[in-house]
Amino acid sequence: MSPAAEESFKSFTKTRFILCEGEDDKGFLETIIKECRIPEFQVCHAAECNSEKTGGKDGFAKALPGFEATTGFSDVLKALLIVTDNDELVTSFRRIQQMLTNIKECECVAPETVKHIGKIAGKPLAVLMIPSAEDEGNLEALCLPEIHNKWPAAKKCVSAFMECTGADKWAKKGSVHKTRARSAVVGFHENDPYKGIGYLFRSGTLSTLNPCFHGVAQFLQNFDKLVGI
Amino acid sequence: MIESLRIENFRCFKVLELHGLKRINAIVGDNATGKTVLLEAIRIGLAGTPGIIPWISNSRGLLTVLIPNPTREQFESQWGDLFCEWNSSMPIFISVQDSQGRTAAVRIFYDLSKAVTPQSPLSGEAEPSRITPSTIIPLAFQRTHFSGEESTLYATVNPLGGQLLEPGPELGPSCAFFCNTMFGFPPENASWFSKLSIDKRDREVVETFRHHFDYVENLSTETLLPYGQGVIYADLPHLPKKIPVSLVSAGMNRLLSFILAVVTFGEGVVLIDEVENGIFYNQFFRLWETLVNLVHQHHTQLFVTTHSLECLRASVPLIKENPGDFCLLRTDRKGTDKQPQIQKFDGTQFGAALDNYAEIRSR
Repeated sequence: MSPAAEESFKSFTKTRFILCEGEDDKGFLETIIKECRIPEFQVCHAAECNSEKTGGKDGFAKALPGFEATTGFSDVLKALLIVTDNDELVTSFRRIQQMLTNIKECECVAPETVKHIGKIAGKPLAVLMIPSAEDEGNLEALCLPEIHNKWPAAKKCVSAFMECTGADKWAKKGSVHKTRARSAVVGFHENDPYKGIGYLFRSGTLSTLNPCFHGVAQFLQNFDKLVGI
Repeated sequence: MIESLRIENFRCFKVLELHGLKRINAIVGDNATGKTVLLEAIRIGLAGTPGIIPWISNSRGLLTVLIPNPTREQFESQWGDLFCEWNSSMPIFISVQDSQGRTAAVRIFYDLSKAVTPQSPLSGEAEPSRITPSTIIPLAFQRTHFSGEESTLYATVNPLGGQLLEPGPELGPSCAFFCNTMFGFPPENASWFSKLSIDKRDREVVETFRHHFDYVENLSTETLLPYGQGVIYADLPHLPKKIPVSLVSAGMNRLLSFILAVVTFGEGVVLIDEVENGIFYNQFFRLWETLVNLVHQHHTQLFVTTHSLECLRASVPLIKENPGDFCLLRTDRKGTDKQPQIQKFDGTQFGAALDNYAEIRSR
């Protein structure tokens, strides 16, 4: 067993659990929970929850079927939240919906509504689409206002860079947002220009108090009421 | 194959019901949450004989001596801890239902209508007058066989005060029980091996064993002194003489016991407490592979407890291959009264959680 596997998700330790796509999402979510004084959630990303270290939505499909038999599911966990990129409108949510339907004792979540409530082995389950249920994109798309706020000078350079590389014409909007955000923050860390967005939140470089994050903060604040726990 | 089980008033279980049991049932949980008791209940439910009780107590390290001329208190103290919270005013009830819908059950209770007062002390007592006959209320084992036939056996005393455990046929399929400290009883192994040898089925055991330990050339039963009563010897090419398997390795002997039991008790049930004991970690996958292959070939059902996540994880490829053959039973004490409970998970959930490197044992 690899050391990484030893450090991964072991059991449910808090009443609220978030399963997100990757390390950056985890960094952002843990920071917003702390900075916005949201009640505690245990946050894990997909690759932490399966032995193959598969991230993203494919990682959800591997992780979710094992949750019910995991220690703490029945007596500690009260509700589960999946936070996922809305990288392709409609189909992103449908993929989540399909994988939940495939899990025994998992009720199908409501399609494309704001709440997206379902159940996994009797536990309430919600799906939060990032940047929102209506907007295509990902965490980077959500973060752009805060990134521009932090590095305003980079904004027009990034636009020029995107234009001259042709990246602004990509069909995949998620990739456009990612490139835009990563280009804007690349000057931050000399030792490792690849440092992810999650690190920028954890280190306090980016703040989750920007109004662009209010929707997410509000959703998490109201989570208990929303899922009825 | 046992599909469901009901236990009432037995040791730590007031009431327990399990359904949907599988070919291979892995039992996990903290100490003192009822794992071994579950195995004992299955053993008693399949036997239904008074004689199985001292055997079970012995396997817990509690040597039962059936003293002659017991007082009622002494007699009942031998059985008292079988009853949940020593409440013998309620009967113990254990029933098992198999995949064909047949039920075997045993109801254990003190039968007042059969009270017996020995007429005279055992002969040969130096001072018989010192022994006061005591009225004994026999312990009844009211049994229903898989065939539907009913019978009752008693743990009682004879007119001379000698204790008597009435023998009778077991109720269900044959069953072997390995307690956590049992490293295989050499004469029993030898007897099983001899029987298979007579039936010309010993090669399967030898080849399966060699799959784990290829440096063992052959196995044979020998009866020469000093062991006399029959012991399985291993032929190791680097040694000038054969050597008892239990002297080569205790773990090897335990593994051989499991192989012999699963083959010998085909169509039956094998109960193994703490399956990982004595087995080196890199043998775990092959241990599961061997057990899974053998239980399929011989239609044996397995109930195994373990504390080892490493041992459980070794089973993942086999669970993924045939999730319908496995289930996980997790024991725990929950609620205000801390009563033991068992949660059951199907093979898909069990395998997926193990594959996630998640913790699946309680707490």
